[in-house]
Amino acid sequence: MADALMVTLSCPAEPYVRADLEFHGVDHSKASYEGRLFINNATAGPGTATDDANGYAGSFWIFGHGGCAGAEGHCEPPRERRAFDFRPAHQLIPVSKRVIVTGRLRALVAPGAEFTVRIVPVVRPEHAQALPVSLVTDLLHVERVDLLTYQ
Amino acid sequence: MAVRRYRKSATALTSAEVAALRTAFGKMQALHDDRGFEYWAGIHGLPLPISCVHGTPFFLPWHRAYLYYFEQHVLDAGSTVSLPWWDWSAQAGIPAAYAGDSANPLAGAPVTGIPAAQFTGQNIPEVDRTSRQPGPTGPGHGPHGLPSAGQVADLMKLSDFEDFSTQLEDLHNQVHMWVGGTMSEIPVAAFDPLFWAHHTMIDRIWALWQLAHPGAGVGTLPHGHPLGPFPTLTVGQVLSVTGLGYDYAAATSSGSPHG
Repeated sequence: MADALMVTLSCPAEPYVRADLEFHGVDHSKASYEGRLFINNATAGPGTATDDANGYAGSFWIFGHGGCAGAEGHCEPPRERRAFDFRPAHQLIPVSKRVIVTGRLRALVAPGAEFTVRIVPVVRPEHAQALPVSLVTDLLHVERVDLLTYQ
Repeated sequence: MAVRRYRKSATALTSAEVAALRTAFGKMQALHDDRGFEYWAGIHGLPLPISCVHGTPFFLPWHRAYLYYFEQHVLDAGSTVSLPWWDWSAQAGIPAAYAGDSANPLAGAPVTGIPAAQFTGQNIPEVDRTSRQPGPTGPGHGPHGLPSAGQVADLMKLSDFEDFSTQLEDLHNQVHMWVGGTMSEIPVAAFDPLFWAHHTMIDRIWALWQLAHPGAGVGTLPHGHPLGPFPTLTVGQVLSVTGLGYDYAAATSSGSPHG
């Protein structure tokens, strides 16, 4: 099963009306999965209950590309686009996800405090069983996580 | 006056309408040319090229154009009703019209027209027919269940198109994974007939959001951007559902004026 990732962020001291967790550079080349978010829970896993006691803050969902149906190199996005390349963007350019966590952040993190977000990739077990192991391992790749708050 | 089709909820179709829709899907599933189900399902995923658009603000316009073209072929195949929407936020699970065994062309479909070479060892396993493994129904299942009406209502409050589109796409992804089986992975998802009712619901939510936020537009998306592989439609041309000849009015009532 896929490994979880964790990031440390800082909650602003000032009041906010909305808080978003943004995940950038998210790979979506393999199986579909849910990215389950836990605040200040360093041991959360796929079996952890999604409740307040465990710091569950929400989820994002990745609709996966399901592997590569082409020959070698087919699913590797180009590092940069050539000038005058008017073709559509490569299908596997990493995506960004945004989860609105306003209420959960207020409930779980004191103003001005540091906190962790653990991202737990979850593939439904019955679905994972039907897929090649390579599609459900090393699943979670995220380049950067931002906390954005709005006053 | 423009002729307008009203897309209905899958649970509001009459038995005659369900029968007509099933017959049309059955006819399309038996066709192996560019009028057929396999051709239109294949545009989304396999066979290559995979043409669907996800993870960008083009997600909603592209799928509106896709539904529009597919619907024309459903009507060509004799359906008397437009594509129905599956209101998964009611959390009742898969609509009865789409359930049952292989005798029901809305319950599943053959997965055909994909070269064997495109099911590689690192790819999703080769399948010859769609399957489903739906999650739990009813409220209180959190991320294990279907998105709730409350989550949809929260979406409708967002006023920025890109914000709205991003959040709606996430609910869309959740539903794909809830259905499970073929619907779970992009390469074959559109072969499940339920895909079309799910996406009609997504299109309906966007249309209702447009009504609630007149003038919100589509953010920075260029209106002249083509929506390939649908050669007659651009972003600007799909912004109005009535301009495409359909609507999502929940109820209509007509009368003849008299003196």
